[in-house]
Amino acid sequence: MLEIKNLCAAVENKEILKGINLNVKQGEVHAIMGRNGSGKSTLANLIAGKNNYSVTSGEVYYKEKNIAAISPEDRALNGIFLSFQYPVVIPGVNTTYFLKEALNAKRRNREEEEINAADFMRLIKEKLKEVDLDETYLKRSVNDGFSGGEKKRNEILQMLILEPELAVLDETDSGLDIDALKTIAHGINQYRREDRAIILITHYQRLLKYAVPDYVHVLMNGQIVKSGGKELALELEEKGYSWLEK
Amino acid sequence: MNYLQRQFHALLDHCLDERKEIRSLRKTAFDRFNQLGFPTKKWEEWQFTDFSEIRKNEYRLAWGKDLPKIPDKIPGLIPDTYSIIIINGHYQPQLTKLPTGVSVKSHEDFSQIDGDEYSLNGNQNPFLALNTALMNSEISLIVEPDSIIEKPIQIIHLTTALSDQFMNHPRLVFQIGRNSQATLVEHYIGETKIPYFVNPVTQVSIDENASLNYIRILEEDIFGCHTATTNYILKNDARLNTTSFSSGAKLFRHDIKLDFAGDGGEAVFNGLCLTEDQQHHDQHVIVDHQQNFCQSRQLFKYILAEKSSGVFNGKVVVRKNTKQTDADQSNRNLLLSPSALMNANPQLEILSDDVKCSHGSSTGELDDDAIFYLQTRGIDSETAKSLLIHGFANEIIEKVKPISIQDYIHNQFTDWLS
Amino acid sequence: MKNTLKKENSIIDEAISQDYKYGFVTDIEQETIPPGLSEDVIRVISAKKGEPDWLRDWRLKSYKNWGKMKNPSWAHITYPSIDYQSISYYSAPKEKKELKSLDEVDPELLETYNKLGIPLQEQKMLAGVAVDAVFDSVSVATTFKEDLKKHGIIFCSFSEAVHNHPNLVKKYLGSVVPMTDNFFAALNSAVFSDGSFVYIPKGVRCPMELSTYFRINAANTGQFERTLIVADEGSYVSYLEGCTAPMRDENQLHAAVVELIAHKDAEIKYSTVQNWYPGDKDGKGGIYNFVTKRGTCLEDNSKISWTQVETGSAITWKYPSVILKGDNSKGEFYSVALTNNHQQADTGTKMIHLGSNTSSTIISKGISAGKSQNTYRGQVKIMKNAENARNYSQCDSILIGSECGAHTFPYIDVRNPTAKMEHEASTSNIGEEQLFYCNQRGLSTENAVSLIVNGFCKEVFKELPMEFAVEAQKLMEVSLEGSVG
Repeated sequence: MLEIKNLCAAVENKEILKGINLNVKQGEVHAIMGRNGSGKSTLANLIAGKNNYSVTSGEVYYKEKNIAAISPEDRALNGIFLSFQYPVVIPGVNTTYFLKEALNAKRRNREEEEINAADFMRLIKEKLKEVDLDETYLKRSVNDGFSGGEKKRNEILQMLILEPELAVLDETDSGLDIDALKTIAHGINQYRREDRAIILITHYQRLLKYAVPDYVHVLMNGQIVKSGGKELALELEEKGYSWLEK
Repeated sequence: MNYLQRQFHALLDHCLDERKEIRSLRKTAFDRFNQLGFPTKKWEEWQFTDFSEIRKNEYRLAWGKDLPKIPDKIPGLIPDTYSIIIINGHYQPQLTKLPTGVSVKSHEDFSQIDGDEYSLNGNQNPFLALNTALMNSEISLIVEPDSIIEKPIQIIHLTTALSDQFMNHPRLVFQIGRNSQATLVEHYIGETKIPYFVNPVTQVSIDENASLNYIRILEEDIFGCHTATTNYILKNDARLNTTSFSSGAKLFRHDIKLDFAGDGGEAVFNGLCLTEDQQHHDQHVIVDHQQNFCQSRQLFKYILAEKSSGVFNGKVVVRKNTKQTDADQSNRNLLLSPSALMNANPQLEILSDDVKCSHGSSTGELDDDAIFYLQTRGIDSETAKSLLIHGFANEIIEKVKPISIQDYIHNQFTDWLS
Repeated sequence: MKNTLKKENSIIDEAISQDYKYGFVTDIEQETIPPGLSEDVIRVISAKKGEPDWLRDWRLKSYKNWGKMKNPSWAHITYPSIDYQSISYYSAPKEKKELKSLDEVDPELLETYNKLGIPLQEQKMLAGVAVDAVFDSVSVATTFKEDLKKHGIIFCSFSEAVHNHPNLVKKYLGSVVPMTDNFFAALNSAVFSDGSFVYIPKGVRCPMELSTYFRINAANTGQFERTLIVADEGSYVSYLEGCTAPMRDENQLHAAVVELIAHKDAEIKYSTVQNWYPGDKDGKGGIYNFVTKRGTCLEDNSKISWTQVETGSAITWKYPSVILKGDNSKGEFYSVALTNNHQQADTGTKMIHLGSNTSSTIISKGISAGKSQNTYRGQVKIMKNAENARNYSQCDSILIGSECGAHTFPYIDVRNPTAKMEHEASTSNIGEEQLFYCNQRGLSTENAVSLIVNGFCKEVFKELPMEFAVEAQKLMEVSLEGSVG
């Protein structure tokens, strides 16, 4: 589903990614772990198409197509979802309206009929329960006045409603109390399906206890220095990252 | 020579075996205090509060002999909590109950004196300097990394059974380790008819991805003056949720400062001040957004009765080149009498463009239309007023967790109201 | 609260490509007097309009006062000083005879209105809106007059009112905005050309929205219109004002005065959509809009409500205010001010509470884009005898891009302790992050901006009459086109 080949990228002439190779197939959950500043968020943003990075070499293929020239909205419409590490406040824009617009943009793109208001309310109320948010949330502006935990749950809610094929979750577990963390993990497990893929980016091991990955990769200084199964996460918890440093 | 000087020298004489670093710190701090002096009306940040009571009254420091017989039932103790008890400035280790993952240090030798927690750092708050010079009861509470502490830890400072005018300068240091979660209650209670002065400094640091629920309850006796300084430092992804409930003390001044020292921090302040008679409560809050993606919310409410007065001065600073700051500050005040007075000054200082900031302030009396409405539904006017005041306070009280502490605060509020 | 922005931003450029839609010049013969201002010029204006002596003398007195006053400098705006001697103070289409119907109006003039999107004929049929179209300074066509007459409502040009209802004009002119009020009001009082006059008699609810379109056409003519609306006891009127001006390189001056008077139990709702030419993307040209708007809730239970959508003018200096004199009177101010490119707006309101149980509401939404500066300046004054006065103020700002500025100056002056004051303010921005977030959810940048801006303004738009609200929404989109992405 996603293939990254020798990806190198820089911000303001500073090299952040130094040759990333990653192959994510349908049905797989990949965890990418690493310390702050190792390049995790850059990788997530690049997959989603944020354009303040310069890709110096390498390619990203999504559904066998090089997506270098594709805009963020078209990537989104074609099934790529990014759960933001720091979800953005959009004042004045009602959450329900925003989500409905987003879902309908997707439906229009697939030449499907737009969802009507009643059906949408039914859908959103059902999904709200999955992420433990109450209905007052629907009346607020996007992420406006939300606590950190609510913002993260809102990201998961959007994922459940938009039903992307590839979900990239950028530190969705940081800044969460233990109960909220379990809720997020529950949402991820709900979403998980054979025809979908997930990339979990984190620097704490806690989430991986509840949302168990198939593969774990360690990102360090812009490179994947080690890959393994889920047991690698446990190893990291025990030993930290320093043993992987060259 | 004023009483503070006499007390300071007596303290130095008494603690001859203190480490020299501490002695020199005390001296530096006392010099700083003497330079600054007590705040006057000309100091912009202090102008609405009169400190002459503290300046004029001759308080003395607590000594060993001040420890009274320990009450069988410690007032204010909330059920289902771990506890740390300090009586007239004396820590009672035999009454301490703590879970694993939490340790407490209290000693005369201030082992961590070299840490930032004791640095004056050019701070211009005279009460911080005074505390540093005279600090006499220190508690360090450390929550180990990756510890989820389910039950609250209650720290009670009890002032009771005094024989003469007395003062106390507690120093508290709280450190919450990485990925940990805890609830702390800092609780001041006074039961005495003799004037006293309590001047605590609390330094809180919350490590990466840790979370602190912190409740401060002020129930000093009406004969007590309480000046407090609380500083918070939040690392990456750290969360702080504070509630302060203040109903006691003749004079209360609280300087609160929060620094976001890492990205993604989150802080919530909820405050409820209840004043009556001639009480005066003054809170100054500075929230400094110096890192990216941090959010802060403040809701400070005052209910002022009789001839009491209140001051709220809140400032949100958003530093240059910070990203995605989300800050909200709100101050709501309810005057129950025409002689009650409130000075509110919420401020925003925004030097970055990537912000979502809001602030609001309101001061008013009970809504006559609402009282009338309730009366038309058969509720008498006294009950109607009490309902409305309850509603006003509840916005703060109902957010307090866990429920045992919420119940305690709710009961104290109901007592106050009746 | 203050917020100035300098940071570089890669996505949002100041690049604005949208041309001013209303920038055409109507080629009609104009009767214009040479530029310059003196007592003689004022006598000429007064004579040309056939005014009575008292009005001429009032003008002359205003002129004398103006001579003693100074251009105000406290606003957060900068502009080169205006040479008041280089402005022509009178311009009228030469056509001067009474018009019986629209057919008699110069077809080219009618064409102008059509370009503006105000088809008089159609509006007469469809919208139920009475339009008093002011072309430059003289009112040329007033429709619906007959219908209104039946209710005893007077809705005519100011000049007509001077001739036909001199006592009303004499009674109320300058009663809310005295000639000495401020520099621009004094200037207007001396040289005002024409404007609108409305009188709603006792107990009458005006059956339709009254509407005026102002348009500045001749080069180098200042527009100094004067509007006076009187709502007598128990009456109601909703008045709409729309403004456009053609595109010219020079800056043009607009210094209008609007006075509203609400008697006992009366209500006046005054809505403005202002899109005078804002200048080009480099800040060249555009209208200087210095307007004094004020209403008095003269007696008990009266209400005055201002709603404004300001997207035009190079400089806007405008503070629609309400003096709450009667007990239980209400004042409202709803405003959206949008600035782009090099526009500067310093706008807000004054609510002066004199009576008991008076209340005021202020909702101000500022949107700054490009290199513009947008300032909210408000004053709420609760005087000593205003028992139980209430005010609610909300001032929100949005910054689009990183080179614009938003400033908020809410002045609150409370002299009675029973006052209940509430103030809320917020500042936020639409930047790269917000747009990327929307893009990532599948929304285009254009769609996202319109979503955000309309969401931000909805509290004010809902105060506008329906057809105006739609226009305002479109106007926002046009004004912001090219400001992002």
